[in-house]
Amino acid sequence: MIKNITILLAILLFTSSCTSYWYKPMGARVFKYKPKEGTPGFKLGWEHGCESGLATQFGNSFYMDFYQWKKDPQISMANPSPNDVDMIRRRYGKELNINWNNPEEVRKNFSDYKNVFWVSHAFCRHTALGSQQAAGANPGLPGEGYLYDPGKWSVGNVWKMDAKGDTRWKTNW
Amino acid sequence: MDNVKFIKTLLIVILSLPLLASCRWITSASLPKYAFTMPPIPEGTPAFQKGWEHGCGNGLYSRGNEFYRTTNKFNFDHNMIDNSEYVFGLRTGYGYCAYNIFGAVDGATSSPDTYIFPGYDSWFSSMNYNDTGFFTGGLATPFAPHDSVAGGFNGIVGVWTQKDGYSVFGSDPLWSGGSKGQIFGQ
Repeated sequence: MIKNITILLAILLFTSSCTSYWYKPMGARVFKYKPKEGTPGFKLGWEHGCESGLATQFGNSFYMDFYQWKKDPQISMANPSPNDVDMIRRRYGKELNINWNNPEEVRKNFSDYKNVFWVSHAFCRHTALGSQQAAGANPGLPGEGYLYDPGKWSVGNVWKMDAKGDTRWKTNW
Repeated sequence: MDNVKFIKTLLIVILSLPLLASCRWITSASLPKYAFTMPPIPEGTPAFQKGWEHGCGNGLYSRGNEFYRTTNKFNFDHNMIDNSEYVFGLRTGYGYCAYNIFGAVDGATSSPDTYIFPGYDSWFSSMNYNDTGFFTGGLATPFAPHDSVAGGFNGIVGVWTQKDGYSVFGSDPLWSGGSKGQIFGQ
């Protein structure tokens, strides 16, 4: 009985992240907001945008080890040729499960991909930066020569209390 | 026995609820909004206002502190992706709210509670705890058998910061950052 309960709790614990990015930094935190509704192009665009955002210098070199730029240049084209569409179909056969014989559906999915990409890019890159700021670990600006400085930021930063304040004192909202 | 079994079942259910919630399986649950944590939505068409509200929530989540991350989440209505007013409101709301949140980080425009103590005054504090934290001297200064040993928690442990060959580590391996205002100091 106890053994069964323990196994059940362990299963629930391990499935609580519910994302394929669970092992990457911020993976569980931001990718849990990956849309579950919308066109396949919308979902793919969100995922690519978020991963690209986490791969920017807004994060730090630790993030850049796990994420990379992912905007598909052929989907992003204004007028992809039939050959481009065919290459995209073969590349994302699993993710873009659409009717490739319907030009309107193809156009709609490509449009959704392009429209949502930068929205999720901004959301994810700022979430990464905001988390670092909350711990007092602002990555260096271009030219400062560092994105992550282990000499400046320690494990104890997670207990930092003064890195982010309460905006209600200032914004007058 | 039935009561014990019931209590065990109830305990399992209660302990499982936070794990289930992390998967957002209860997708219809709404997030609470507290007073003074959301700016007034500007006037405009319903589509614009909806986009603005979604964008602002996205901005508060991404650049806000943990408080804002419990009351906001990512929102994008995929059905309105081709509505130019919604998208305009989304981008405008994100920019406005995220950039207002920036001011709480640090610096002259930050809010007062970015400091553990708003200012060091020797009448009230023996140490500037923004710099030392609570565990490196200050609140508790136990025995210091060597002149170079710090007081506070580090002194109690007595291994992190001892010099002259008494320590395994050259410096505190856990709190060796240059950040200030931590509970555990620098």
